[in-house]
Amino acid sequence: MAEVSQDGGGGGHKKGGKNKQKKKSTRIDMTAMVDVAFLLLTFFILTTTLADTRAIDLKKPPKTDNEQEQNDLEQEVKGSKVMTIMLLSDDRLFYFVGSQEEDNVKPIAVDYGGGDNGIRKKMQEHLEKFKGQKPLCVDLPEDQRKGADCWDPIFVVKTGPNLSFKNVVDIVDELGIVDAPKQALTEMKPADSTFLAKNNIRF
Amino acid sequence: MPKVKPKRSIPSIDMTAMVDVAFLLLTFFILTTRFKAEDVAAVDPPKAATADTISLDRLILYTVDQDGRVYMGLGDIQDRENMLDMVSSRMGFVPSEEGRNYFRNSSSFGMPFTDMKRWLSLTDPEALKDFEHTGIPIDLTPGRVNELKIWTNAAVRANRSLEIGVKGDLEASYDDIFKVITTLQDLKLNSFRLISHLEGED
Repeated sequence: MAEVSQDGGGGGHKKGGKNKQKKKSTRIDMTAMVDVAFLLLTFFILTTTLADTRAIDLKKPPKTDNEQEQNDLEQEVKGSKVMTIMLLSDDRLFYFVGSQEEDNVKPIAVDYGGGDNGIRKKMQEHLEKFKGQKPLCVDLPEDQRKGADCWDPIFVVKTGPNLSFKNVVDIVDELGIVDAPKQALTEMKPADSTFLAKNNIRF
Repeated sequence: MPKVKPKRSIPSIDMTAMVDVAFLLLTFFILTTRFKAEDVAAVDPPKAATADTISLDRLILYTVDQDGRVYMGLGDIQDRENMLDMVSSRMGFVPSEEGRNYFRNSSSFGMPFTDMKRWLSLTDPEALKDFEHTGIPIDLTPGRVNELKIWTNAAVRANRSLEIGVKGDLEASYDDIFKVITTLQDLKLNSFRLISHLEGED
């Protein structure tokens, strides 16, 4: 095992050494210490899981008590650039593009995730609607955005009652995966439940 | 002819290098290991693919378990102490020395003020440890006392640079988490970090 020796390893005869002192061995037996060290090392290696806390970001639009302000905020996010995603209980998911006041706008059922009928694909389609024709507004320098002919997709996520936390994290995650430039997470309002009722969807 | 005496030597391997490496690794693990504080609630966060690594030290962490109980925790010991001092003087209770110390060293807590008074007046460490955490009550009715808001207010005043982390169980109801978020938005805190596992990890 490991040893510390101070006799230079060779221990050869010294030239003309007259005073022949008996050399005591300075070797220390470190076997036990090294054993303990390995035992501890094994313990730490086996018990360590790297503390790795991860999180996704969620930014909510600020709450306003002022109703007028709230309405203005909502007025701003209407029209065909808006994709609304509705989360309902029992893992149900619907989306539509445009304003729900228009007659031809109907909620379409989709699945979570990136499958063929998955929400990720629909988000990507919405994001790349004008690919090759118009640039995304977020890709333009900030001072050129105003009034420019660019595509400005907005994703609005509306949460219904009795959702599991997993549903919400999944959708926020999907928004991150497709790199959605503008997004908002809000709760459903009475107008949304009447819209769903009109389309025979259980709230 | 003289017989050739075979030289006898004990076979030995030089293990110095290996032992050096072993000690180096051991030192690394000893220095970097921090033992995980015991959680008051068992929570399994959902998975996400876009999750970034964050530090728990600069976080006000709200934990919501499967049954909708809300716990709160601060990463820094000094912040915890300041928060407790603010809340206890506001709510008019005096924690015992042992209770205060226990609170300083616990990563999270969650109980109504009435229980909190009894909990922190205890002096026996075992009793402090066994006390049941039933969750911080949230009352969103205007004009009523929202205990989570009082705690959060104190935490934000204790350290203004903290971020908000929300750690929900994947089976937790979003309605319960939404109550936490609404309380925080009342205090103009609009940016949250939702704790999640990285997809594909266990």
